[in-house]
Amino acid sequence: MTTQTFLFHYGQYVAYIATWLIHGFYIGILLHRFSRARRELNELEKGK
Amino acid sequence: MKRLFPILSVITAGLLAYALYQALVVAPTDALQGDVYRIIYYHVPSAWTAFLLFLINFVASIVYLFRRSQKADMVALVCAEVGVVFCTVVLVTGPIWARPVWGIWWAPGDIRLTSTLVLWLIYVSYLVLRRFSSSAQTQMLAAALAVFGALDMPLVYFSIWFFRTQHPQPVIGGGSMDPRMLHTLLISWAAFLCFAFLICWARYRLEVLQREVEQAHAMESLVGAGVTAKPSMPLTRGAK
Repeated sequence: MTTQTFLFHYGQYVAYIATWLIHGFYIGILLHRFSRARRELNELEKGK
Repeated sequence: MKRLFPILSVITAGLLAYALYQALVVAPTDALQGDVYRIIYYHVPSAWTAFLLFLINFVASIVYLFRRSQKADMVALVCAEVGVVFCTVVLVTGPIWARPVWGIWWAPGDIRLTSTLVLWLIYVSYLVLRRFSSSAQTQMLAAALAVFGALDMPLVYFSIWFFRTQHPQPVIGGGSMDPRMLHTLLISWAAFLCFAFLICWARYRLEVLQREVEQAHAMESLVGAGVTAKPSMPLTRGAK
Protein backbone atom coordinates (compact mmCIF):
# COMPACT_ATOMS: atom_id res chain seq x y z
CA MET A 1 0.00 0.00 0.00
CA THR A 2 1.48 3.35 -1.04
CA THR A 3 1.31 6.49 1.10
CA GLN A 4 -1.26 7.90 -1.31
CA THR A 5 -3.56 4.89 -1.03
CA PHE A 6 -3.08 4.66 2.73
CA LEU A 7 -4.01 8.34 3.16
CA PHE A 8 -6.96 7.98 0.77
CA HIS A 9 -8.45 5.35 3.10
CA TYR A 10 -7.23 6.50 6.51
CA GLY A 11 -6.24 10.17 5.96
CA GLN A 12 -9.14 11.45 8.06
CA TYR A 13 -7.89 9.47 11.07
CA VAL A 14 -4.27 10.48 10.49
CA ALA A 15 -5.31 14.15 10.32
CA TYR A 16 -7.43 13.77 13.45
CA ILE A 17 -4.53 12.22 15.38
CA ALA A 18 -2.14 14.91 14.07
CA THR A 19 -4.56 17.66 15.14
CA TRP A 20 -4.78 16.38 18.71
CA LEU A 21 -1.07 15.61 18.93
CA ILE A 22 -0.38 19.29 18.15
CA HIS A 23 -2.96 20.52 20.67
CA GLY A 24 -1.81 17.97 23.25
CA PHE A 25 1.80 19.06 22.82
CA TYR A 26 0.81 22.70 23.33
CA ILE A 27 -1.32 21.88 26.40
CA GLY A 28 1.69 19.97 27.80
CA ILE A 29 3.88 23.06 27.32
CA LEU A 30 1.25 25.23 29.05
CA LEU A 31 1.01 22.84 32.02
CA HIS A 32 4.80 22.77 32.35
CA ARG A 33 4.98 26.57 32.28
CA PHE A 34 2.13 26.81 34.84
CA SER A 35 3.89 24.49 37.28
CA ARG A 36 7.20 26.34 36.85
CA ALA A 37 5.59 29.77 37.43
CA ARG A 38 3.71 28.50 40.52
CA ARG A 39 6.90 26.94 41.91
CA GLU A 40 8.85 30.19 41.37
CA LEU A 41 6.11 32.24 43.00
CA ASN A 42 6.03 29.90 46.02
CA GLU A 43 9.82 30.06 46.35
CA LEU A 44 9.70 33.85 46.22
CA GLU A 45 6.99 33.93 48.90
CA LYS A 46 9.01 31.55 51.11
CA GLY A 47 12.09 33.73 50.70
CA LYS A 48 10.28 36.81 52.07
CA MET B 1 -14.78 32.16 37.83
CA LYS B 2 -12.89 29.15 39.20
CA ARG B 3 -15.98 26.95 38.76
CA LEU B 4 -16.71 28.25 35.30
CA PHE B 5 -13.51 26.86 33.78
CA PRO B 6 -14.20 23.17 34.64
CA ILE B 7 -17.84 23.55 33.56
CA LEU B 8 -16.78 25.02 30.23
CA SER B 9 -14.14 22.30 29.87
CA VAL B 10 -16.80 19.59 30.24
CA ILE B 11 -19.12 21.34 27.76
CA THR B 12 -16.23 21.73 25.27
CA ALA B 13 -15.21 18.07 25.64
CA GLY B 14 -18.81 17.03 24.99
CA LEU B 15 -19.04 19.32 21.97
CA LEU B 16 -15.73 18.03 20.57
CA ALA B 17 -16.86 14.42 20.99
CA TYR B 18 -20.18 15.21 19.28
CA ALA B 19 -18.36 17.01 16.46
CA LEU B 20 -16.05 14.01 16.03
CA TYR B 21 -19.03 11.64 15.84
CA GLN B 22 -20.71 13.91 13.27
CA ALA B 23 -17.47 14.23 11.25
CA LEU B 24 -16.49 10.58 11.13
CA VAL B 25 -19.86 8.79 11.28
CA VAL B 26 -22.87 10.97 10.47
CA ALA B 27 -21.63 13.23 7.66
CA PRO B 28 -22.12 11.62 4.22
CA THR B 29 -19.18 10.32 2.21
CA ASP B 30 -18.05 12.58 -0.63
CA ALA B 31 -18.90 11.16 -4.08
CA LEU B 32 -15.48 12.03 -5.56
CA GLN B 33 -13.02 12.09 -2.67
CA GLY B 34 -14.42 9.30 -0.50
CA ASP B 35 -13.85 9.58 3.24
CA VAL B 36 -10.59 11.51 3.11
CA TYR B 37 -12.59 14.72 2.53
CA ARG B 38 -13.59 14.48 6.25
CA ILE B 39 -10.28 16.20 7.00
CA ILE B 40 -12.10 19.47 6.25
CA TYR B 41 -13.91 19.05 9.58
CA TYR B 42 -10.62 19.77 11.41
CA HIS B 43 -8.76 21.69 8.69
CA VAL B 44 -11.36 24.38 7.90
CA PRO B 45 -12.54 25.09 11.50
CA SER B 46 -8.88 25.32 12.57
CA ALA B 47 -8.23 27.84 9.78
CA TRP B 48 -11.28 29.94 10.72
CA THR B 49 -10.30 29.85 14.40
CA ALA B 50 -6.71 30.86 13.59
CA PHE B 51 -8.00 33.77 11.48
CA LEU B 52 -10.28 34.92 14.29
CA LEU B 53 -7.43 34.77 16.82
CA PHE B 54 -5.09 36.70 14.51
CA LEU B 55 -7.85 39.28 14.00
CA ILE B 56 -8.20 39.70 17.78
CA ASN B 57 -4.40 39.98 17.97
CA PHE B 58 -4.57 42.75 15.35
CA VAL B 59 -7.26 44.70 17.26
CA ALA B 60 -5.52 44.22 20.62
CA SER B 61 -2.21 45.37 19.10
CA ILE B 62 -3.83 48.57 17.81
CA VAL B 63 -5.38 49.15 21.26
CA TYR B 64 -1.94 48.63 22.83
CA LEU B 65 -0.28 51.06 20.39
CA PHE B 66 -2.81 53.77 21.25
CA ARG B 67 -3.35 53.19 24.97
CA ARG B 68 -0.32 51.18 26.15
CA SER B 69 -2.78 48.86 27.87
CA GLN B 70 -1.06 45.84 29.44
CA LYS B 71 -4.30 43.84 29.19
CA ALA B 72 -4.46 44.50 25.44
CA ASP B 73 -0.83 43.43 25.15
CA MET B 74 -1.54 40.18 26.99
CA VAL B 75 -4.62 39.48 24.86
CA ALA B 76 -2.53 40.08 21.71
CA LEU B 77 0.20 37.72 22.88
CA VAL B 78 -2.24 34.99 23.92
CA CYS B 79 -4.19 35.16 20.63
CA ALA B 80 -1.00 35.07 18.55
CA GLU B 81 0.31 32.01 20.40
CA VAL B 82 -2.94 30.03 20.27
CA GLY B 83 -3.49 31.20 16.67
CA VAL B 84 -0.10 29.78 15.68
CA VAL B 85 -1.09 26.41 17.17
CA PHE B 86 -4.31 26.36 15.11
CA CYS B 87 -2.47 27.54 12.01
CA THR B 88 0.02 24.69 12.53
CA VAL B 89 -2.93 22.27 12.49
CA VAL B 90 -4.02 23.82 9.18
CA LEU B 91 -0.54 23.44 7.66
CA VAL B 92 -0.23 19.83 8.82
CA THR B 93 -3.72 18.55 7.95
CA GLY B 94 -3.75 20.28 4.52
CA PRO B 95 -0.95 18.14 3.03
CA ILE B 96 -2.49 14.96 4.54
CA TRP B 97 -5.55 15.73 2.41
CA ALA B 98 -3.58 16.97 -0.61
CA ARG B 99 -1.41 13.85 -1.00
CA PRO B 100 -4.25 11.42 -1.88
CA VAL B 101 -6.43 14.01 -3.67
CA TRP B 102 -3.89 16.07 -5.63
CA GLY B 103 -1.12 13.46 -5.66
CA ILE B 104 1.33 15.93 -4.06
CA TRP B 105 1.91 17.07 -0.48
CA TRP B 106 2.33 20.74 -1.34
CA ALA B 107 1.75 22.85 -4.44
CA PRO B 108 4.82 25.12 -4.69
CA GLY B 109 3.89 28.62 -5.83
CA ASP B 110 0.20 28.21 -4.99
CA ILE B 111 -0.77 31.58 -3.54
CA ARG B 112 -3.22 30.22 -0.94
CA LEU B 113 -0.72 27.75 0.46
CA THR B 114 2.24 30.12 0.30
CA SER B 115 0.38 33.05 1.89
CA THR B 116 -0.83 30.78 4.71
CA LEU B 117 2.74 29.62 5.33
CA VAL B 118 3.90 33.25 5.31
CA LEU B 119 1.11 34.13 7.80
CA TRP B 120 2.30 31.33 10.10
CA LEU B 121 5.92 32.52 9.79
CA ILE B 122 4.91 36.12 10.61
CA TYR B 123 3.23 35.07 13.84
CA VAL B 124 6.06 32.68 14.73
CA SER B 125 8.41 35.70 14.28
CA TYR B 126 6.09 37.69 16.55
CA LEU B 127 6.37 35.01 19.25
CA VAL B 128 10.15 34.73 18.83
CA LEU B 129 10.40 38.52 19.22
CA ARG B 130 8.25 38.41 22.36
CA ARG B 131 10.21 35.51 23.81
CA PHE B 132 13.81 36.50 23.16
CA SER B 133 13.93 40.30 22.99
CA SER B 134 14.67 41.96 26.34
CA SER B 135 14.37 45.52 25.05
CA ALA B 136 11.93 47.89 26.73
CA GLN B 137 10.47 48.47 23.25
CA THR B 138 9.59 44.80 22.69
CA GLN B 139 5.86 45.16 23.30
CA MET B 140 5.61 48.14 20.94
CA LEU B 141 7.69 46.47 18.22
CA ALA B 142 5.63 43.29 18.52
CA ALA B 143 2.39 45.28 18.26
CA ALA B 144 3.69 47.02 15.13
CA LEU B 145 4.72 43.67 13.65
CA ALA B 146 1.27 42.27 14.42
CA VAL B 147 -0.43 45.21 12.65
CA PHE B 148 1.69 44.77 9.52
CA GLY B 149 1.46 40.98 9.73
CA ALA B 150 -2.32 41.16 9.71
CA LEU B 151 -2.12 42.59 6.18
CA ASP B 152 -1.41 39.03 5.02
CA MET B 153 -4.80 37.81 6.29
CA PRO B 154 -6.95 39.33 3.51
CA LEU B 155 -4.43 37.96 0.99
CA VAL B 156 -4.83 34.46 2.42
CA TYR B 157 -8.61 34.70 2.56
CA PHE B 158 -9.26 36.27 -0.84
CA SER B 159 -6.50 34.49 -2.74
CA ILE B 160 -8.88 31.73 -3.83
CA TRP B 161 -11.32 34.34 -5.17
CA PHE B 162 -8.89 36.45 -7.14
CA PHE B 163 -6.08 34.11 -8.20
CA ARG B 164 -5.84 30.79 -9.98
CA THR B 165 -5.05 28.37 -7.22
CA GLN B 166 -5.12 24.64 -6.70
CA HIS B 167 -6.82 25.07 -3.33
CA PRO B 168 -10.59 24.28 -3.35
CA GLN B 169 -13.08 27.13 -3.48
CA PRO B 170 -14.44 28.57 -0.19
CA VAL B 171 -16.86 26.32 1.66
CA ILE B 172 -19.36 29.08 2.37
CA GLY B 173 -20.32 31.32 -0.53
CA GLY B 174 -18.07 29.57 -3.01
CA GLY B 175 -19.82 26.38 -3.93
CA SER B 176 -22.70 24.05 -3.25
CA MET B 177 -22.22 21.94 -0.16
CA ASP B 178 -24.50 19.23 1.14
CA PRO B 179 -26.50 20.74 4.08
CA ARG B 180 -25.48 17.78 6.29
CA MET B 181 -21.82 18.47 5.57
CA LEU B 182 -22.29 22.17 6.28
CA HIS B 183 -24.10 21.34 9.53
CA THR B 184 -21.21 19.09 10.64
CA LEU B 185 -18.68 21.74 9.63
CA LEU B 186 -20.44 24.40 11.71
CA ILE B 187 -20.66 22.06 14.72
CA SER B 188 -16.94 21.34 14.39
CA TRP B 189 -16.20 25.05 14.24
CA ALA B 190 -18.30 25.70 17.35
CA ALA B 191 -16.39 22.94 19.17
CA PHE B 192 -13.00 24.29 18.05
CA LEU B 193 -14.04 27.84 19.02
CA CYS B 194 -14.98 26.69 22.53
CA PHE B 195 -11.69 24.81 22.78
CA ALA B 196 -9.71 27.85 21.56
CA PHE B 197 -11.52 30.07 24.08
CA LEU B 198 -10.58 27.70 26.92
CA ILE B 199 -6.96 27.51 25.83
CA CYS B 200 -6.78 31.31 25.52
CA TRP B 201 -8.27 31.67 28.98
CA ALA B 202 -5.69 29.28 30.48
CA ARG B 203 -2.86 31.00 28.56
CA TYR B 204 -4.04 34.43 29.78
CA ARG B 205 -3.99 33.21 33.38
CA LEU B 206 -0.50 31.84 32.81
CA GLU B 207 0.65 35.19 31.40
CA VAL B 208 -0.74 37.00 34.46
CA LEU B 209 1.05 34.52 36.73
CA GLN B 210 4.33 34.86 34.81
CA ARG B 211 4.17 38.65 35.03
CA GLU B 212 3.56 38.39 38.78
CA VAL B 213 6.67 36.22 39.08
CA GLU B 214 8.72 38.70 37.03
CA GLN B 215 7.43 41.60 39.13
CA ALA B 216 8.25 39.71 42.34
CA HIS B 217 11.77 38.97 41.03
CA ALA B 218 12.24 42.65 40.13
CA MET B 219 10.97 43.78 43.55
CA GLU B 220 13.33 41.33 45.24
CA SER B 221 16.26 42.73 43.25
CA LEU B 222 15.26 46.27 44.19
CA VAL B 223 14.99 45.35 47.88
CA GLY B 224 18.36 43.58 47.65
CA ALA B 225 19.86 46.73 46.15
CA GLY B 226 18.50 48.79 49.05
CA VAL B 227 15.71 50.50 47.12
CA THR B 228 12.56 50.61 49.24
CA ALA B 229 10.21 52.74 47.15
CA LYS B 230 7.78 50.99 44.79
CA PRO B 231 8.44 51.45 41.08
CA SER B 232 6.33 54.25 39.62
CA MET B 233 5.48 52.16 36.54
CA PRO B 234 4.30 48.55 36.34
CA LEU B 235 7.26 46.33 35.59
CA THR B 236 6.91 44.50 32.35
CA ARG B 237 8.82 41.80 30.54
CA GLY B 238 10.73 44.44 28.61
CA ALA B 239 11.79 46.23 31.78
CA LYS B 240 13.79 43.48 33.45
